[in-house]
Amino acid sequence: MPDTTAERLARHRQIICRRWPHVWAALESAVPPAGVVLTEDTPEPTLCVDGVHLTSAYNRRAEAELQASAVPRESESAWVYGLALGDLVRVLLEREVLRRLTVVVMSPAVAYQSLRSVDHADWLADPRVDLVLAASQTTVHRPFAVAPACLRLAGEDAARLRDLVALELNAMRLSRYFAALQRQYQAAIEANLARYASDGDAGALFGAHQGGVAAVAAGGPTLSDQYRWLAAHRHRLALIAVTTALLPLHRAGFIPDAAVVVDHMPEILAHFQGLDTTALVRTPLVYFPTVHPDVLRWWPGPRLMAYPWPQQPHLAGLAQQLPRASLFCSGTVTHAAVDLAVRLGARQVVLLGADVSFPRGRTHADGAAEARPAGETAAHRLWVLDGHGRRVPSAFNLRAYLRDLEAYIARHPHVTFVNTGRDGARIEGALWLDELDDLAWSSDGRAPMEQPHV
Amino acid sequence: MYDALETAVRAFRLGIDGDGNDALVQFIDALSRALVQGTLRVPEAELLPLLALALQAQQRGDLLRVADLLEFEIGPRVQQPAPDLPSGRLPG
Repeated sequence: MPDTTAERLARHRQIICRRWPHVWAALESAVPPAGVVLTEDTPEPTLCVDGVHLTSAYNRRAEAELQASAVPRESESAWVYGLALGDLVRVLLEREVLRRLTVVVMSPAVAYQSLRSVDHADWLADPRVDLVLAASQTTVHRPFAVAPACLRLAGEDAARLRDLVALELNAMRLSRYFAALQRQYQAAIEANLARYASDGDAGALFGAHQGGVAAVAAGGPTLSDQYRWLAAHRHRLALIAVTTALLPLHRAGFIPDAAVVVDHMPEILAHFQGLDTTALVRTPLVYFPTVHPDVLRWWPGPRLMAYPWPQQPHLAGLAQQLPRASLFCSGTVTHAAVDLAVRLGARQVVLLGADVSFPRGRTHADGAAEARPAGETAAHRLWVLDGHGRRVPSAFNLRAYLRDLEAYIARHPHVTFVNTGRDGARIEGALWLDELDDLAWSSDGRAPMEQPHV
Repeated sequence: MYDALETAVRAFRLGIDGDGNDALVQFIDALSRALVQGTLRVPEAELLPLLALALQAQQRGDLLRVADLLEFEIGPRVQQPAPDLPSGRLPG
């Protein structure tokens, strides 16, 4: 006779409490999901949590075998992200060569419901298995396999790990995406080629604000919340604006010390319409060689070229002929602007409007050319945590930018990064401005930033 | 068309959502063309409710449900060639 839910749960509890007591504590105390249904009208039973099926309801074994194929057959150790109904774990444990299998709980609430609903005792008791909580994990371990529904249902504590796993899963897709852009990049390089030699090197700015405070203005919706703070401190910080922040800053009366523009898409030109060229004649533009040619034609101030880092294959030849400084960029101009702030020598970097999400359901700051409602597309059902600990809508690319920015921050422990808009994404490694007594302003009253000689 | 379906199913089951969504769009485009051209044996009225279920599941992020519907409900139906097509030859 099949055991009852209580008997099943008691058996699981006994094993987990004996082997991983802290994991059981997290499972038991998790807030139950709103909707949990064990499907019984499908060819195979499965659990549906908040509208998301944990496994196939037609052929769980075949699905688990496909997922397990991500782990090479000769691997002696592997990681599984999400336990789902245990099918993937079981398939991997059938491999005699496997000596260690670490199963990561992506959502204690979902895992608890799974433990209530189906039998997991066999694999939980396997001495090769280790069960860990996502909250205790900071990196993705290889080789790994994924129960994808558990990524979708990941809890708040697992948000960062979820994004890192998703980035790994989609790495090949991103490579294909950038490979497909080669023709457009090449066209931009050919159109811009004549300017490169006469334009300056972004390296001319490096060290221009040694030991000071730099603010990076990104184009997120919370940018405008910071105008009062920015006005109060503008005279003693270096202000770097990314493309989407130029218009909102201009309309609010701020002229940046440097602008960073890297995009090759023609849509970017909308961000320059309405800008006052006379106000920008002393503002250097830092750009990548593949920036849209009209940006370089239009920019009224000095132009300084930089290469993106990590180095792009299509720029390797040009970089040999024409060496220039490099700025970190993993998909968003904000990365390059933050790296520029660090290269200026800033001791503290304040992030304004770096929301990397859709706070208040908006895409950009008011006044930005692309400011619009974020909409309710499937992609926007993705989320990250905001500065209040709440879920804020995001998108796959934004989550990737966020995690790469966090990795960059972790690589620069000598710089203090300060976030400002709590309605936007929480950026791990950045402090909150409203929790600081003050910033480490320079006491010598020097100008915000030395201008480059170009 | 069936290649796109298989790609979508595989990608969704492996958690490669972007590839899955791209392939799903390709599959629906090809399916729409096949329906307009009348190259499928299965009646439109039988397919459309299944497609609607798949799109609803995709909207709520229930991608294994999408994979199931594609692989086990929609796939077998669109694999049936129209009477005037040689056996095994798929449209699209």
